[in-house]
Amino acid sequence: MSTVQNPYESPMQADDGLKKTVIISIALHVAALMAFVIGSLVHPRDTVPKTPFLFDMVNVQTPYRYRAPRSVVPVAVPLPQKEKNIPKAAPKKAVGKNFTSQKTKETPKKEETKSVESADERPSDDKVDAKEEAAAAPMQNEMSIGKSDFPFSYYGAQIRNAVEQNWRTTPQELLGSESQLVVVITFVIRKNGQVSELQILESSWNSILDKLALRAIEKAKIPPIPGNDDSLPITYRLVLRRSD
Amino acid sequence: MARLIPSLLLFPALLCAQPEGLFIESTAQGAVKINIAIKPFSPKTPGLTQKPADLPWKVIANDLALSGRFTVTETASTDTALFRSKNIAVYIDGLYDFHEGKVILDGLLYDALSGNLIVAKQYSVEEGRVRRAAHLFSDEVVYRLFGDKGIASTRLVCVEKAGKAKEISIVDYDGAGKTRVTNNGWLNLTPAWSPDGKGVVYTSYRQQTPALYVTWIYTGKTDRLTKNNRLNFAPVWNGVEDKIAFASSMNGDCAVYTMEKDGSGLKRLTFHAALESSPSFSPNGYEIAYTSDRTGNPQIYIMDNEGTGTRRLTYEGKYNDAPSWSPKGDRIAYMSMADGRFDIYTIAIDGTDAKRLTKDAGNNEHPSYSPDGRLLVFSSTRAGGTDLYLISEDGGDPVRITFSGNLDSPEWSKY
Repeated sequence: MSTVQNPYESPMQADDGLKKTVIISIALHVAALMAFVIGSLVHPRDTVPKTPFLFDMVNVQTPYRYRAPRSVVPVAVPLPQKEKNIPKAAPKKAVGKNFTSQKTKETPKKEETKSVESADERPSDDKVDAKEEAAAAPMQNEMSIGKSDFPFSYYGAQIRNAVEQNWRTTPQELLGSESQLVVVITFVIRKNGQVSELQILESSWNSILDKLALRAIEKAKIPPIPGNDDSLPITYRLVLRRSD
Repeated sequence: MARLIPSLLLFPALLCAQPEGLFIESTAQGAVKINIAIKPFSPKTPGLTQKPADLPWKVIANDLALSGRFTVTETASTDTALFRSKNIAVYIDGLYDFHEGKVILDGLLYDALSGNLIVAKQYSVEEGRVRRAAHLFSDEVVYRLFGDKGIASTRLVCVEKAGKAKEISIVDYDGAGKTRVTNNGWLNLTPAWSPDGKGVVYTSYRQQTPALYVTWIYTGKTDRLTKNNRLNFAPVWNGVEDKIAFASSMNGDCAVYTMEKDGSGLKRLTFHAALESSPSFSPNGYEIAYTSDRTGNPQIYIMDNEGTGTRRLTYEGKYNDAPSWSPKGDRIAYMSMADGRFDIYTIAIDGTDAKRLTKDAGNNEHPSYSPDGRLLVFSSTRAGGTDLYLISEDGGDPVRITFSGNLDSPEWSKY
C-alpha cells in the first residue's frame, strides 16, 4: 500500500505545500494592503495645495516680474504717423494683410529657422532679437463694432480712447519671453455706455494678462450710444507688445 | 490656416473697416483730445437780427477748451471736406429764438463725418441765464462724447476784497457771473462749500469775533455755528458724514476740530502744542490733511478723522500750506514756498511724486481741485492784483479767469 500511496503522497504533499505558500502569500499581501489602507486612513498624506499659480510659470524668466514696472510705457498707443497714411491709402488692404497673411505665414517660418539655428542665442543676441521684431508682424489693437452700418465714426474712436487709457499701463513684464501677447474680447455696450457680457474669445494663455484686459474694458468710461441702437456688440483685440 | 479662419470670422468688420484711429491725438501725458468744431448759432426764424446777450456758442467753445478734452475750432461752414482735412470728429451747431421774453436755444451735436445728429437739447431761459444754458449744453457734450460729467456748470466760492472789507463771492468756474454771498462790510474769510452746493460756510467778523457761519445761498439764511469768542477759521465740509472740520484757538493753541453741520458735537482732533490749521477732508471722509508747524516750519500732515494715525506728508520746502484733496483721492494739492514766493504743487498721498505746477510768476496760493480732478483753481498775483487762474492737473499754462484783481481763496464746488 505504501508503495502505491507514495506516488500519490508526494504530489499531495507538494500540493499542500503550494496551497500553504499561496495562502500565506495572499494573506501577507492582504495584510500589507490593509496596513497601507489603515495607515493612510490614520495618517493621511499631506496633499499638495491646489491653488492655481498666479503667474504663468512657463514664461518666468527672472524675479523682476514681481516688481512694479519702472516706468509707465505707452504700450497700446497706435503710432500717429502710420495712421495718417492708413486711411487714405486703402485701409482695407492694410488691415487685412496685417491680420491674415503676414501673421500666419511668417511666424511658423521664423520659428523653424530659430529652432534649427540655436535656441540659446535668443535672449543674448540683440541682432536676432531685432530681426525677430521686424519679422513678427506686430499686431495693433483692433476694435470692431459688430454692426456693419453703424454711422457714428467718432464713437469707435472714443471707445478705443477709453479702453486704451487703461490698457496703456499694462506692465511689459507680463510678456515674459514672448514678443507680443494677444487677447480677444467680446462685449456688449448698453445704451448708457455700460459694458456687459464680457467674454474672452481668444486667451493669451496668461491669466494675469487676460484679467487685466478684461479690467481695461470694464473700467473704461464709454459714452452713451448715439442714434437709435440700444446695444452694440464689440470685438476688441488687445495686444501687449514689447515697446523697444 | 486653421488659425486664420476663426480669426477672420472674428473680425468681419475689419475687412470693410473705416479708417481707425482717425481722431486720436495723444499728448505727452497720454490725455486724449478730440477735435471739435463750433459753428455760430443761427436764428430760427430767418431775418432775426437780435442776438442773445452772451453769445452762447462762444461760452460753449470756452467751456470745451477749458475742459482739456477738446481742441476747439470755430468755423462758419459745415463742409465735410473741411472737417476731414482738419481731422474734426464732431461739430456743434445751434439755433436761437426769442419767445415771450425768453431765449430759446437749441444745441445740436453732430458727427462730422456722417453728418448724423448725436444729441439735441433745447433750453428755454431768461435773458440773463443764457450762459447757464450754454454751460449745461457743454456738460451734455462732454457726457455724450466721454461718458463723464462735465464741470461747466460748477462754481467757485472765493473772497472778494471790497475796500477795507472782505466779502464772500460766488463766480462761475469760468470767472463770469460774480454774485455776493455776504455784504456786511466786515471781514469774511476762508469760504467752503456745503456738499450739496447750496450753502457756504466761512469765517466772519460780523459779530466782532471771528466765528464760523453758514449761509444758504438759495434762501439767504445765515446761521452761526461756533459759540466761542476765539478765532475759528478754515472750515471744510465733508459730505460723507456731514461733518465740518475747522481750525480754532478756542482752547488756547490753534488746533483742528470737527463738529456736526449744526455746530453741535464739537470734538478736538489734534492735541499738539504747535499750530495746526487748514484741514481738508479726503473724498471718502476717512482722513484729514492739515498743516502743522510742529517741526518748526509749516508742513502738511495726514490723520484719520478721529485724530489718530498722524503721518507727515511733505518734507520738501520750508513752508507748505493749504492742502486740498483731489476728488479721486490719490493726490493732494498744496502751496509751497520756493524762492520767497508761493507756488502750487501736487503730491501723491504716500508722499512721493511731488509735482510743481507754477513757477516764476508771483505768489500762487490756495489751490482747489475741480470735481472731475482735471483742473485746479488758484489765486495768483502774477498780474498785479490777486486773480483766479485755472491750471491743468498735469501742469501747463494757467488760464486767467477773473480780471478784477481782488479775488482770492477759491474753493471749487462739487458737481
